Amino acid sequence: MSVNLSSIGLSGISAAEAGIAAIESNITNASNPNYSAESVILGVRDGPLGEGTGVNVLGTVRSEAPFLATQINSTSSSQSYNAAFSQVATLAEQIVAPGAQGDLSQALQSLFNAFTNLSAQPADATVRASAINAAAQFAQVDQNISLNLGRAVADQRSQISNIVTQVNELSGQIAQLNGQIVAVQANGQNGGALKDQRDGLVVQLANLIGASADSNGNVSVGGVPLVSGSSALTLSTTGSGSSLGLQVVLSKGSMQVQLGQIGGQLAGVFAGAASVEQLQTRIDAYATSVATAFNGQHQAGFGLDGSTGNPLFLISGLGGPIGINPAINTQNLAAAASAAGLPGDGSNATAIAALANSLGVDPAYPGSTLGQAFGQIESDFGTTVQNAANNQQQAAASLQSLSQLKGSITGVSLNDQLTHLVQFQNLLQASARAVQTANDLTTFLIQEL
Amino acid sequence: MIVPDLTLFDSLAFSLDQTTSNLQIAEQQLATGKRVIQPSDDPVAYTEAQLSNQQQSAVSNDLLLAQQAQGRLATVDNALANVSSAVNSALVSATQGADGSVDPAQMKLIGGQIQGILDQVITAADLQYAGSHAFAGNQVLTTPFNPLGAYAGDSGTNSVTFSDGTKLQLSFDGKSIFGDNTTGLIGTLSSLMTALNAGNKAAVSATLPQLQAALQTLVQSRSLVGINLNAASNLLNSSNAELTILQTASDSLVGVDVAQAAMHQQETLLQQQALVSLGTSFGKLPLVNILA
Repeated sequence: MSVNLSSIGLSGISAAEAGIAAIESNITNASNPNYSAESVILGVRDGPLGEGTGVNVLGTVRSEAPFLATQINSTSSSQSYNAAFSQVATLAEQIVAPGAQGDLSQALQSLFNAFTNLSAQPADATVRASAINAAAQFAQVDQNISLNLGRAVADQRSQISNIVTQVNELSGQIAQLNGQIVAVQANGQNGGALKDQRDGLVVQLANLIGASADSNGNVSVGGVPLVSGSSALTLSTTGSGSSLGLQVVLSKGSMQVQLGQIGGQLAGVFAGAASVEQLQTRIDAYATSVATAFNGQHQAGFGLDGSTGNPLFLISGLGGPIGINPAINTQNLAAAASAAGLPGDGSNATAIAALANSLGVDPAYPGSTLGQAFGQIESDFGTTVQNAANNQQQAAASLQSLSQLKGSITGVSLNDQLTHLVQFQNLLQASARAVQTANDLTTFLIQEL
Repeated sequence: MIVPDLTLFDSLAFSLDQTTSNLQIAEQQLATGKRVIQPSDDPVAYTEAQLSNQQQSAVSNDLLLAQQAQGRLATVDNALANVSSAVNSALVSATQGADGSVDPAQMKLIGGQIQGILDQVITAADLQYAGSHAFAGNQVLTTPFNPLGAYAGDSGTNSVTFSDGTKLQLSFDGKSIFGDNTTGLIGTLSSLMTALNAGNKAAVSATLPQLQAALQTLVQSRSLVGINLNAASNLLNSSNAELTILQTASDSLVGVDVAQAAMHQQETLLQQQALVSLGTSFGKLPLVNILA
């Protein structure tokens, strides 16, 4: 049996070089979050009698954790959803509850105080003007809230087309990578770097729209395909305002995407806008209830000029914010309950002030005073914002934990790599020594013979 | 288990973010003295505090209004006290005028005194407080009595109702208290003056029970004003106490325990310093430094 000593040593050198190459790639990508560590698979080179004749480099494998990757995508989607939702919801919360500047309920309390004062001094022009100012202030606060909430909703929705564009760009890039990976794998390579790139893009897509991908890079969201092999479908928006929606353009026609099917930032933007719009509608309805109650009582009273039936507020038929009736002045402000009681009767002002303690003025809160009803609106929305913030924090913590877990499988530890580097360095030196020994042996034999 | 270097730094960054966020919260709480600033900080506490703030606003307004009402009612009471005193003088004068020993000239002299008392009563009945007449019923902008005692007010009254339900009457029907040129106190004083000037002792005597009745009416009116004054005084006391309670309740709902917050801030700061220190030691950990 003849043994090719040099060949065995050379196979060790090749294996060491392959190992060092993989380690160098790992070390240089240690800070690349989209990189999965690679390692060399070695196999025994069999001789004709089954004896070992060296080592073969079978290939380079990329570390993968597909289950964790899916979990990370899902959690990233949840975090992005709650972050996008929280962003607009927190803004809306500050609009509705601006702290020291005073909210709508404080403006309403000032209005009630003004009418209590009016009931005591119904003929006093200054007190009458103060009551009108308080009513105008209440209407102004309502208008500001409604206007600013409307702006917040519009700003939120204006992000949607930009996100859809990003989704389409990412889908296109993933489809392109899918094609390249298939081509590379057909040549017997593993395409690890391309897969890393694709995984990174899928994470971005999960963040944007809650998409998930299978092992072949086919991407879908809520069952709706976005990428199929090397083809990407185009996502587009439909409608506008509160009827804004999504569709996927197919070769023949289109497929509507229900908002419940998507996740990530895009779903958070849609949900946040809808939630703030609901809040705006609720506050407009609340202000309308207040205005309706005030008008009902005010119209039953009499102004100093003897006029009656004048509304204090103007109410939008479309359910928008209320306004002060510009025709109201210190003369026709109705503090008196009867014309005979003019000018010193303030009992209608008393009746208006008593609305502060009336239950169910806002029909949405039948067992509550107006102050309690607004408190409930703020509390309900505060709970929504709190939940979104908590969910975001939980998702961030889960994501951190999952990333650590995935990192322990696919990440690069410099200590680990350096240990392997020493190992392959030793292999290289030993193999070189083996080749040298074989060479020395051959030289010796030649000289002796 | 492999611990990738990237994970180490990511974890450190995550932990630093968490402690920075906690530190920010603690510092905000210390700076504002409040634990709850937005509804989402604690929806239930925020709502309760808002309701408490509304109540404080109402009670503060009640306080100012009750002080004004108290001033008005005290002025009304003072006017009625002066009128009662004047009526007592009139009773003495009338009794003197009805005496058989008084001659017509002396009666005329007493009649002059009664004229002065009548003028004094009418002036008191035309009392104005903060621009409105107190004894004109609802005709608060009209002088209720002319110099002859004719009544131009009405029988209406106006009250103010406070947030706790306390009701104070602020305007009064002057005619029911003082009568007018033909009835009640003013009418009686006019008749007395006429009788004295005419030297009619029988007529003078006839006014005595009427003056007594008028005095009684004044006493009853003062009693009514006194009830309202007491109610105003009680309201002021209870409102001050309620404001303190509401403020305390509001503070306990949204206020921060400063000592606890300061302690929490120090703990978080220490935690952050430890993390930063850990981060600086990361560079020394890898084998590369040992192998180099």
